[in-house]
Amino acid sequence: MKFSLYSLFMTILMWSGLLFQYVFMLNEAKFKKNIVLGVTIPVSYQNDDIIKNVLEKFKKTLLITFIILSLLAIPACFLEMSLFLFYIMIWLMAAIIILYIPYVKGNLRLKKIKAEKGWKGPKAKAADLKLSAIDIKTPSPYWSIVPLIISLIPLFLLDKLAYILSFTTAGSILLIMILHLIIDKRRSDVVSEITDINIALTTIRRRIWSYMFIGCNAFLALYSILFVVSVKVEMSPLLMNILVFAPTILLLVFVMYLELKLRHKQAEYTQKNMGDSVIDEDDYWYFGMFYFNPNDNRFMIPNRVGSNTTVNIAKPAGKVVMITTALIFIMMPFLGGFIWYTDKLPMQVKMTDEAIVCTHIKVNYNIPMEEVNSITVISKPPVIITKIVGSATDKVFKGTFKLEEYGICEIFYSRDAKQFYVVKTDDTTYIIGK
Amino acid sequence: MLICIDYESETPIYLQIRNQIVMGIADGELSEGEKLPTIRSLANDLGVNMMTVSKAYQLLKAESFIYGDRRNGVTVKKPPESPKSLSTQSLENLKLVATDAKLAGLSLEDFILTCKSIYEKEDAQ
Repeated sequence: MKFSLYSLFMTILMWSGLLFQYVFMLNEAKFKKNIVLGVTIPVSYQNDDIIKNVLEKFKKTLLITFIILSLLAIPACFLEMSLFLFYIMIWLMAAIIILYIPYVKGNLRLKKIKAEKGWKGPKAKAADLKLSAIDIKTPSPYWSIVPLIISLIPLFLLDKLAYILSFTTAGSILLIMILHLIIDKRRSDVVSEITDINIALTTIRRRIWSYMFIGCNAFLALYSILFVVSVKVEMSPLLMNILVFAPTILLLVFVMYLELKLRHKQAEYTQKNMGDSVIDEDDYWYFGMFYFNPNDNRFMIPNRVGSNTTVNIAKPAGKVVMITTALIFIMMPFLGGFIWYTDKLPMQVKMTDEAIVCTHIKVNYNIPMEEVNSITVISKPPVIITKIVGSATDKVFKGTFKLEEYGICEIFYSRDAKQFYVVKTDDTTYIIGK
Repeated sequence: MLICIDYESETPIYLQIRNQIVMGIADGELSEGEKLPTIRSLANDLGVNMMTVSKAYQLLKAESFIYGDRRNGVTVKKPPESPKSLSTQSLENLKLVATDAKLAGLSLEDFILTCKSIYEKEDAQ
């Protein structure tokens, strides 16, 4: 076990996700649209001692859970990369599930109290006629087509080397654009009988999210451009990551801050103006999280609080989405385990009169001897500038990399390799370790 | 102006929408020439089927409270000056209310007094 700066950086990144989740869950203990911990409580009972007790207990348990989970992340900083991935994946899955336990317990407790006391809000839904009639101008989701096109540039400048990066970035941009289109059509926020307040809050929220989506896509496009620059000219990968991720994180933090401020304002107005005329839909929300309503034809359902969207599990497509999400979630630690396992497998190099064959899990390279122009032996591993496509763990280095001395090459060696062969063919240079 | 849909009410949702728009016109909250939301927008904001809103708008059009079409949207119409008579739908509703009052044991005088009080209250608004 030894301390690794990379593992520390990644652990802090993962832990910041836990911190975000903790802040958001803590925020669930505040009344928004008469809803607290996913349960609708009529205004007249919101200051009841029994409710306050449940909320206090929730906050305390959540804090203890958060501290324990944070402490459990520390050992990850001392693990080698493949084991780190395995550990952090399990930690991440456990963290997501365990942090929800206090919420679910609080939700069930409040529902029980509500049923025992016979508190029931009206099954009514409100819309502001004037707000519904106006067309709120927000930046169009189609602005993201510009970053989408830019993200495909590496494909033309770097040829097949960048196809994974280009398609991943373009796919992410496309997904964010679809999400933007969905969120753009979501229902207006009605928190007051005064139309101007409803218009102002709905407009601000929609604009913030529109700018956030387009901004994120712009940064993704910037990443693609910087990637091309880093391959074509000298550029530190660290500088590249800072240039891209720092503004993205700043943008996200800014949007989250505004969103929380808006939620606070909405809660204030709801309490002041709307009284109990907020619909009580608790029967359709299981554990305050999962929506199941066979009478609702909609597939995508906006969350009752905030800007997120969920699916109606009563619809067949909703079931498919939920099961797929659960499977991906369960697969996370297995993926970490797989990387850890493959890191232990030997990297085999066979040199015969016919060909050089490099095998690790599968045959990675099969270079016929007749295509080889020269083979030189070097004793030290090459200096890597950028990984283009491939893997670089603590032990395994394979794939397409940009190297200091040889430029763009195909490499295949493990950390404990003693000798390195520089194999040149007409169009490719290979660095193979044995 | 807020439109509140009560999902537990016996009154169909399209009638609840229609009634609240009519009340909005009577109260002056909706004035002549004011644009109403599109069917899609109102259905989305209320979380109801588009057919439900469409049915409410058709009824309002038939009763001459609104005018317009799919392309240009619907607009609040000037309330009819003459003939000063109730629509068929309102007459039906009034008949139902009068029958309810009779079954509840209300005398004709008391019923008229209640109606008068409601009318005066609306007029004052």
